Amino acid sequence: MEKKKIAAAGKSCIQLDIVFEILKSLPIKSLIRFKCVSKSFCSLISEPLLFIEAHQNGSLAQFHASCSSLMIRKDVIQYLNLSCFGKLHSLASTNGLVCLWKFDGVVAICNPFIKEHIFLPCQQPKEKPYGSMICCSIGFDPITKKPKVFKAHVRDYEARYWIFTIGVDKSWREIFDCAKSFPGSNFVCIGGVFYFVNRLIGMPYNIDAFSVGNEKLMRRIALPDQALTSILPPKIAEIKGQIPVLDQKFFEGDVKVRLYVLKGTDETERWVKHIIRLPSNLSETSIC
Amino acid sequence: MAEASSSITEKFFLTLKSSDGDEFVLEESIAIQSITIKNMVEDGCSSSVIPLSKVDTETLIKVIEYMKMHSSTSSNEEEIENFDKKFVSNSINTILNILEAANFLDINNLLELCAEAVANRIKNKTPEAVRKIFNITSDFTPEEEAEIRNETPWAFEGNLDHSLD
Repeated sequence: MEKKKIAAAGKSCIQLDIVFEILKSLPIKSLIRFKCVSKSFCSLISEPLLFIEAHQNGSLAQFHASCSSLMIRKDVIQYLNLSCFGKLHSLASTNGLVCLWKFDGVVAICNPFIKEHIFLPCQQPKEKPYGSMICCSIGFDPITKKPKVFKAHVRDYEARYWIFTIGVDKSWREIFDCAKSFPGSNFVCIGGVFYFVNRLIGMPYNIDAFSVGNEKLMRRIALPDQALTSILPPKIAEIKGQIPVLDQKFFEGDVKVRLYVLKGTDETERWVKHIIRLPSNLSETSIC
Repeated sequence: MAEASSSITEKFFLTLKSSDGDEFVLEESIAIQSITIKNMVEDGCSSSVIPLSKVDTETLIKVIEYMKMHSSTSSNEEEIENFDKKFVSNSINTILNILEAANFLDINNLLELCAEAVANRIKNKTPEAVRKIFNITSDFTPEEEAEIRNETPWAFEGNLDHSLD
């Protein structure tokens, strides 16, 4: 396959955090149109906070952003709009804890219900993360019950990982066996395991399972072939302890979504497909 | 704080050097609007020339113009407003260069001003024009791009702007 380029030779490529600053001021219609500029634009535009911001800037129409149910609460959104979080544009949440971050490595953890927050130590990899992306996930160690923050830093075709256990660690610890895995901001944490769709460029979309307690990649689950009809990565969610995968492609002109659920264990494991027809009044609002 | 002490006692000056090798002498109280420079001053790196390897001369002149206007006690709000308006009427390429410099130098209000200006200029443009402006090569196949377009045809309706400025 042809090698992927962000910029043509001769001029350095524009940094993603600068693009993000620009996108922040655009109305929804322009954002949607610019998804087809390039893959990095497309993935930036899929950041939930961008949509919230664009929406609050007086743009039209509710739009489906990959938000958790937390984000439909007005008081939570109001709290996350505090000026101290002003520059943090990405977000992930688990069990009511919200992790916010920026591509330069600033990470904050907050509890929007009791309105408390901490900033984690800012740590930068030695080389400047030029044109690269950071993604955080937050989960609970089922044994120690401590929240752990995982920070993945992707550059070209490789990712590096750091872990910070809240209330224990004084600095980020790097872990080393996950170079071929990058989470994107869509993940679920069930029973001390992170599940996410691998977004590393050049890798097929798989679900990676990562143990929060052991801090190790546990397994890689191939997605059902049919779920990959859309070029957008499938969404992952949680329903009653199971991990369904949601195909991002909609049936043309219709309001059905395709959902795949992994059933059984070991050899009997297989994907079961469900087709869900949405009530028509939902078709233009939040999907997941 | 730094402004007060420097104006009462004596003025401190810094020398900034652009990537083209040109040197600019600037009052410290003006230059420290850049957090990057402020940190360097606080770390004691300001005695010699401060090299700004990511900022070319043309861009640095504009950034200094901006910092002078925004720190001057003699310029009132209206003057600043007019200055900003004129400032963002530069070519989109110039603004993008200033934007990158503002990001590197960590001058937040300049970053916001330029980001908003770029957004305003590109909001009605076609994706093709945006690619050219940002010097981006699309990494979608034609089929993939068609698919994204088909998912939200309404976003491509109306009078779109093909121009590059």
